[in-house]
Amino acid sequence: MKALLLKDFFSMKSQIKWVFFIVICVIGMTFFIRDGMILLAITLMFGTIQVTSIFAFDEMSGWDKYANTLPFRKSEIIKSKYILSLLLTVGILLLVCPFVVFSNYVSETFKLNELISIICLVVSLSIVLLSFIIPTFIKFGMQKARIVLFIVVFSFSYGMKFVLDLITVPSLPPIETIQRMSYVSPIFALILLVLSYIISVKFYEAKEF
Amino acid sequence: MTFAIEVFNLRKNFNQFHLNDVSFTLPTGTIMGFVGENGAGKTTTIKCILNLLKKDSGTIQLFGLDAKDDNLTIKERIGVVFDDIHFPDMLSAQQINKFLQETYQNWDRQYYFDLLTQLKVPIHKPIKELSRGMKMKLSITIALAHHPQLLILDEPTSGLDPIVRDEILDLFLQFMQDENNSILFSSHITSDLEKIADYITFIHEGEILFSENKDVLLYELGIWKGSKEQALDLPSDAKIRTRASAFGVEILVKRNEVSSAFQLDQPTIEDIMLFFVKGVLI
Repeated sequence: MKALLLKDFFSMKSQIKWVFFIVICVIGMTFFIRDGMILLAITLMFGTIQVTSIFAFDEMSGWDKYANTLPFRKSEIIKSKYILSLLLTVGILLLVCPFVVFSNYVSETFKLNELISIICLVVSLSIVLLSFIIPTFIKFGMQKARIVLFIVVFSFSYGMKFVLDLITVPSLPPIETIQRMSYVSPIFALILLVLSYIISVKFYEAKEF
Repeated sequence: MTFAIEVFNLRKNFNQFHLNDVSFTLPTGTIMGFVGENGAGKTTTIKCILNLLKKDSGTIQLFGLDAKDDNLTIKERIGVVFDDIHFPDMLSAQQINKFLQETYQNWDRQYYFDLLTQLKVPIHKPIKELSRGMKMKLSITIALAHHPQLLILDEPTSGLDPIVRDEILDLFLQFMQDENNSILFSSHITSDLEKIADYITFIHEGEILFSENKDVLLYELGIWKGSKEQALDLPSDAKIRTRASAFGVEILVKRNEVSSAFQLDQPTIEDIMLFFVKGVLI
């Protein structure tokens, strides 16, 4: 496991300069527009993009064919991608959270409890996104997966709009309930991530190289 | 006698190609050249041995262990080289060492760097900046540095110049100094196999046509050249395959079944391959 994570970090190392450059730009932008949430959302999305880059590097080099000749279980190869995703999410969160809190302190946009609930929701969204992206990449490969993800997002958006036009939307629950739900949303996102891991292992075990 | 690889009745079906009852054994301490034209099934067979493809039927054992059930134990004891290095190309030899010392229980860091120095492979350069020859030297060093007992090589010398190929063949011969080590070497370059192989296994359209000791092939077979009329004088039991040539016919014969009055040329592995693929049974 450690070996696989090391390899992925070495692969990302060449991009580290760009990562820092983009994070610094976004931090600067945050103070300029006085909205820390943009910083958090952009950097977490950036973390997700890093995971997709790792899949792209692996695919370009034919890594999976070679990795499966090494003494790793298939589940271990997949687990390393999920752990990498979580490490990136947590790492980025720890890196940008102080700036988000400070920016919010200066701009006084949100109260503390509102801020925490928004952070929880953004992190959960990022994990949910990873839960869909990783098995799709494993099942279809990078080229097809992009098209599949586009079709899924497109169909979902229009499908939702179609359904909402047809039915009467019940009124939203009170803001306090939504806030309480947002605090536990990362737990549900993590459960989804575990399910996604199980599905990814199944896909990977069925694959031939 | 023990065997490094035992393959029996291996079958694998694709839409337009299938491996049909592939069987061969690689005795421990020997090198087997695995030859055949493009698309004959060499890589498919190797991938089945490595569990990269799922076989439809048949048995595959490495070191007497089942290739699927004892997968992890086997992979600690084998080194694999494909026709390209399959690490992301931003990694350097130095970083690959860090990765592999966490991968193999038996990784020999010192031996790895000694081999890289011997082969003049830059340690800090990313793979993308290495020449093809350097990439293959790195790939072979990686396969050797955990002291495997079996090397599985899929076209490791294709596209390399004769100097680099010679250096690589020397490495394989060095590896074979230990009599417990074995090599399965798939290649188009039959001259490389003539230099180092003990056995030749020839696959054609998914079927093994022969798996034989190299010396038996090269010294017990001969090529007779002459006219169709003259060919009638050859004992029919001695004839293996016939090919039409510009001057008549060429016949691959069993040397010991032909009178010394007939002048025979010594075949190369390439000649034998061509007789089996292009020639006809008599």
